[in-house]
Amino acid sequence: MIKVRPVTLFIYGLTITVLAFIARSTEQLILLTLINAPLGIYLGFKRLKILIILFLLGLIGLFVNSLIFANSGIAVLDLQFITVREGAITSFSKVTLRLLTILGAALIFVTQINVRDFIKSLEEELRFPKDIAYALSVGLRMLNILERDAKEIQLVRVERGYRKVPLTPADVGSFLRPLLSLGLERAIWIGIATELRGFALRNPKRAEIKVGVLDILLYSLLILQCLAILILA
Amino acid sequence: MISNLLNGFVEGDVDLYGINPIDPEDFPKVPKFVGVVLQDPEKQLVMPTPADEVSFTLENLGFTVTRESIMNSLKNVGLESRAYSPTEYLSGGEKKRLCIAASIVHKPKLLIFDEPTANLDPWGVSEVINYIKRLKEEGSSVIVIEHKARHFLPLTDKLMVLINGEQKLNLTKDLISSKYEEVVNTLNNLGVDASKPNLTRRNELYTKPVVITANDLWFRYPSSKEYVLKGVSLTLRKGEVGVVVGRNGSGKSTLLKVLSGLYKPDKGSIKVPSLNGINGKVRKRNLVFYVPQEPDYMFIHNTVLKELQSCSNKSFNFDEVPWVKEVLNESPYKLSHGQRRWLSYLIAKLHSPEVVMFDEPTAGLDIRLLKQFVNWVKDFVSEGKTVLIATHDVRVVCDIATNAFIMSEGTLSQVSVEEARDYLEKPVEVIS
Repeated sequence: MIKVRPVTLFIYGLTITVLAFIARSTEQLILLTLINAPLGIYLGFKRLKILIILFLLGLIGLFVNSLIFANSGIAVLDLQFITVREGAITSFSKVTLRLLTILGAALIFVTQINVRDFIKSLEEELRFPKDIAYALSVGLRMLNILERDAKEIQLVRVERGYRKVPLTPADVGSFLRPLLSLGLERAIWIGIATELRGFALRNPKRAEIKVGVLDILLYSLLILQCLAILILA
Repeated sequence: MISNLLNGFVEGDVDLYGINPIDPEDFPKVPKFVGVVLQDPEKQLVMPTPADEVSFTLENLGFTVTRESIMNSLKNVGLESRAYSPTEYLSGGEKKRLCIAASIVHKPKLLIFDEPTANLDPWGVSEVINYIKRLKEEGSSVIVIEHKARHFLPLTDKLMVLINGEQKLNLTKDLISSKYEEVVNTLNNLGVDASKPNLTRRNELYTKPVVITANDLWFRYPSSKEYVLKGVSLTLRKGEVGVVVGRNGSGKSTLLKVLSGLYKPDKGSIKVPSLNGINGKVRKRNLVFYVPQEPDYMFIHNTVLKELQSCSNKSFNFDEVPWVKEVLNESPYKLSHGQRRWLSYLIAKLHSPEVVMFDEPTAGLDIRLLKQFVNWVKDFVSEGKTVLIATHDVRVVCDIATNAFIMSEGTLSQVSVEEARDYLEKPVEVIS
């Protein structure tokens, strides 16, 4: 099966993230979102559903944040207890589009790479230090385990009479605490296990960057988006 | 490891094939000579597939990675057909064998196993024992650190018992084989699990009132077409300790979650008579409480005190667990693993359920902690409560079970406690 090289996916994801921050106008952000978010969510929905759901829930906090810090300008909606103004809507939509672009690029990257190929690619082609390449790879490998932990935590929350999905800051804290505790313990032991398998002796070879048809397609898409951002600026 | 990776301090010298592993200069060379298999495979497998996992060790140590070397290594542990399957889909025994393959692919002179039987079903245990036996026959040196010494006694050339860091016993093969029974008794007296567990007779409880009945339960996860539970029925009575035994992945944990009302069955019914026979309301009054294998999943608050207060308005009896008083203001995550397990039992008890469902509560526990758990369950059922335990641990079956079930490929059959014991013992006995 023809696959996109990990280094291409990495460059694509990183560049799109940078573009999402460079883009200022709503048009630029809509363009980036329309290309990356549907593709990423389509590829990642089955495997990383919970991450996508948590992201969507995070938008509630984002809207509240916009209401607190950017609620200025013409009144758009009067809800009796609060008036939503143009500034809040603009700020909310820009940040949401920016985050959706990054989420899409991240999902494209996460769903298409093989962890071992990724380490080798970062070390050999992009010449990353082995510790950074390895830490990134383990982080990606842990996504599935984190998802399993999150599901178990949800079950126990229901059992103990707490909300299954965290909504308030206190909920988020109590949800993240066990996830972080388990993640930290795992990280320590994975580090130890890796050292015991000779990671300190690892001496990556250097290799030239190669490109295939899919890589060329993805680089072309990236260049088109860069050009569109420049034109719409 | 202690001085180089865990910020510990070690005094003295170790000579390991001409290097001193305590010396930070020599430590990185240790993996060339030693393969280490840690207790929990989840905390040492870092790659997406078995083939990648084995290649990772070879790449680290500068070997040329070929498909042949990878497949040979996986073939040795019976995983060649799973070489490119995602690691998540491997069973507990397969993950353990993969850890072994990844640790010895470069043919180290010494292999160290840290509790190789923890979390494994008896079939997984027998696979690991078989493998260690083969390594020994091939001339490798193997060090096994284990609570359940009885599985390894027939293979042992040297045996050492450490208690609180002190060497309490040091025996050789000749002594072990010539005075086997005496050695087993001495080990048992020192708190090492060395003998076959004896079945203790318990009163039959068939006349007691029924607390939960499940009838023809069918369940499958939304992401799968395959049913995990296929027409499971069971009845539990007041004061009963039921055990569910079966292979890893047979559906034991899922059954417990369905019975606790955490998963809704696709078909079938669960009746709890104290809810006046109303189906599907198990969850609402916490009459059935599920305790997961990993205690950290249970904690919501940032102090032990808040955890206990959040479960019940009743005042907590500290005489029951005196150490809790000392750690009330600590975070639950700062407690030892044993204490965290204990705290999860207390949380379950404080929710005042009629039935508690324990998922592998004794995995990785030494005999002292196991006895504490057994006593806790005995006290709990003496209050008229009921317990259902999913376990691989024959010690639990022999010490506390009053009723037993075997779970196999989604179906459940009720058996005698003796049959459940034999079911768990048989795979390991064949090896011994």
